[in-house]
Amino acid sequence: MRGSVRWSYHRAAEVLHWHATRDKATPAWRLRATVVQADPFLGARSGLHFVAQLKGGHAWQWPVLELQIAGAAASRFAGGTLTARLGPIEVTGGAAKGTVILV
Amino acid sequence: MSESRIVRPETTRLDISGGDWLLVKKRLNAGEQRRAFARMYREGAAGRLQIDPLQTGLALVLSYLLDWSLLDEAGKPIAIMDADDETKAAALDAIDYDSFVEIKNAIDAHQNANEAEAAAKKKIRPGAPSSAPSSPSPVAADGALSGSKS
Repeated sequence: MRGSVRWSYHRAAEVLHWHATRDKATPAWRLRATVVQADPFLGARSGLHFVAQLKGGHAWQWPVLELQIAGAAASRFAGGTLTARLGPIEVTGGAAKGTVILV
Repeated sequence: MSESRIVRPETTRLDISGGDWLLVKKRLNAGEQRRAFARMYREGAAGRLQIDPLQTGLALVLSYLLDWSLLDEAGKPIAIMDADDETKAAALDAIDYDSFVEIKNAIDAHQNANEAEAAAKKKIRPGAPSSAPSSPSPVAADGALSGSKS
């Protein structure tokens, strides 16, 4: 499943195979995903959100608290790894139950 | 400390006739403005760039438009949010001409209001040069866009 890190309508990163895990002790989530392409300038902006596309046109959204992108800048980080610390989930169009999401 | 020149990606909603609305970018950044210019210019005689009057309206709309409330013939929303320019252009080509002109005029008015606001801010920015630039700036090209045919 696809996802993207967004700065409003700009796309800082497109990812695949995302995996978000909630820390039981805090409302924070950890995200790990494979990068399709990323823009480090946009990725350094404040006010980013991670938007996960789900089946049926639903989407879940989290605020991004910290973001790291590892990979080759020359290939726009394609195939690299994106890790992030996310804030509490902001649900749109679907239930958000469970502590771990594997997509 | 000077004010940031980064354009924050903010949106605004423009109401049009029939209860429909457009979600548009509040301002374009330099890259978006450059891409809009690239879409509205074509190479003329001797390799000189000329404004293509048939493209200026479409270029303006594509550069600002993010989403809208328009419905298709089955009453379902015409999805353009997150679509690429080609998909949005295809949707704009599919609507009736009067509606396209209305959308273009709404965005044109929005852009003109933004430019007036930016010009007023520039006048009061500390350290801003008071004299006119010695060579034509990209802002000069905006005049052609504002007065374009769709």
